[in-house]
Parts: sequence; structure tokens; C-alpha cells
Amino acid sequence: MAKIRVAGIRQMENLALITIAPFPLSSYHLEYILSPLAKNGINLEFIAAQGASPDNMGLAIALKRAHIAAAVGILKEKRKIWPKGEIYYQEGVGMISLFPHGKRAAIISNFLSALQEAGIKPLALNLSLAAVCAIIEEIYIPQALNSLSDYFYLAG
Amino acid sequence: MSKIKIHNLLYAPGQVLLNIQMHESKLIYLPPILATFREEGISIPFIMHSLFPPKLITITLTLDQKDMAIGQVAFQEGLDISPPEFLKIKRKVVLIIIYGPHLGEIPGVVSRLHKLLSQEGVEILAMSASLNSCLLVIQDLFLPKANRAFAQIFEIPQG
Repeated sequence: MAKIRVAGIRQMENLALITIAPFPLSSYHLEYILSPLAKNGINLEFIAAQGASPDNMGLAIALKRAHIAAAVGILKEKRKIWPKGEIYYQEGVGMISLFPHGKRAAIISNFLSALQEAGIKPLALNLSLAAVCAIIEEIYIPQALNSLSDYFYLAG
Repeated sequence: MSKIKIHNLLYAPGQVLLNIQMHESKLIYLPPILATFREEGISIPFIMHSLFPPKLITITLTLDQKDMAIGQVAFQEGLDISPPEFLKIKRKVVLIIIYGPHLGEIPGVVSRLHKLLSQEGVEILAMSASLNSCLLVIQDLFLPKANRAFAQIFEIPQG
């Protein structure tokens, strides 16, 4: 498979991933949860909110590991608005971000292939205008970077 | 509260939203499907997936309306979707990309954004944020209301 040129690759370590499912997503509910996190200085490095219907959504957020206890405490306090949902969290995760130049279908295909080839399960993934970001277990970051180098090369 | 400076606010109208929920073991079939998209010249403006216990993956993506039929067949057959797994489609959605290189460094951007969208009554179908941008998928009928919210929170570049 031809390698695809990218502008850069970035890794972040010492993160934690919190998932809430099912989550009754609405702007109101998201703000209700995210606002106290922001007021406590907890910055979210990654957010993915998705689902099939407004009352059966899932929310995944990644934040610095040092903030996990405070964040989970805040979320548990707010849990009354989604009584049927569960809060799961996982420490020891990291984020790999790839900065591509277009070719989005190809980028995602190669990105997932690289992770699969390395035996790595992406816990969450999103594509923005400038980057593809995947949350994976931190211990697999070196293998992920190694495998990504088989599918992508850096410009310049 | 001061407005947040952003680099750009972009819209991709005429999209369809596909929501797929499947067992995590089927993730291996996703790259070949996306490789087919590449060969067919189908663009994917928005995609994200999350793994929710126990062993369920939710994939959310948008495609241009003209690519919906191919996309639906590719995912339905390529992933062999069968109950309780599902593939659901919502038409007439718009993808909104809020791009500000510094967004990831400011706690509370998404919170403020959702507060205002909530006040305007905008229903959000999917949302992702990382590093430098925030992407929202909403039904196109909510776009005027969403724009009112954006004007209150962001310093939007003109032109």
C-alpha cells in the first residue's frame, strides 16, 4: 500500500478516558456536565458524543490523568440526570494525532489498518478538519507510531 | 464574557448522518470498506468511533447525500449488520466545523457553546472536539439558530 504524506504526528501521554453510556445527549445535558468540569479547570483533550437517538447516546472524553479523580467525582454528582447510564473510566491511555493533507477516506483507512496491524484497539477516534485523533492504551503508543510509519510519511 | 477568537467557521451542507453500532470484533472490516470509498472517490467529512462497554462500537460518520446509497450498502453488507447491531441514517444534516488553532487550550469552550445552543433549542446529533477544532452535526433546519449561538460566543472572521 502506498504511503500517504502527512504534515505531522503527535502523541499525548498520561491521559484518562471516561465514557458515559447510555447518555441522554442534548445541548442542555452536555453543558450541565461540561460546565462544572471547565469551572474546575479541567480541560478536555478529546470529546466524542454520538449515538442513534437523542436518549441513547454515548459520550467519551479524554483528559489529563491528574484530573481523573476530580472529573469522576463531578460526573457522579451530576449523574441524576442520566440515572440509567453508567460511568466507565480507564487510566493509562494516550492520544495519537495525525495531521493529514486531505484524502480523508484513505487516511482513516490507513490509520485503522496501521493500528490493527499492530494489534491495537482504538478506544475512541475522531476526525477533525486538521487531525485524526485516536485514544489508545498508553503502553501501545510506541508500537502504534512504528506501525503508522509503514502507512504514512512526514512531509519535508 | 468575551468572545472567543476562531480562525474559521465552515459548513458542509447536504450531508447524511450514518450511525452504526456493532460488535467490536467487526472493526477489522472497516479499513477495507474505507479503502473502497477511496477508490470510488467518496469523501468522509466526519467520522468518529467510540468503544462503549460491553464490547460495542459506535461509528458515526457523514457522507454527501449523493454517496448515501453506496455508503449504506457498503456498511450494511461489509459489516454484516444484524440485530441487535444497527445502521441508522438521518438525512438533511449539516456538518459544522469550528476551527480555531487554540481551542484545545481553553477549558470551557464546548461548555459555553452547548449552553448557547441549548438556549436556542438546537438538537445536536453528534459532536467531537480535539486539539484545534470542534465539529457538530445538526439537522439543517436548526442552522439559523445555531448561527445565532455562534455569533454570541465566537469572534467570527468575515469574508
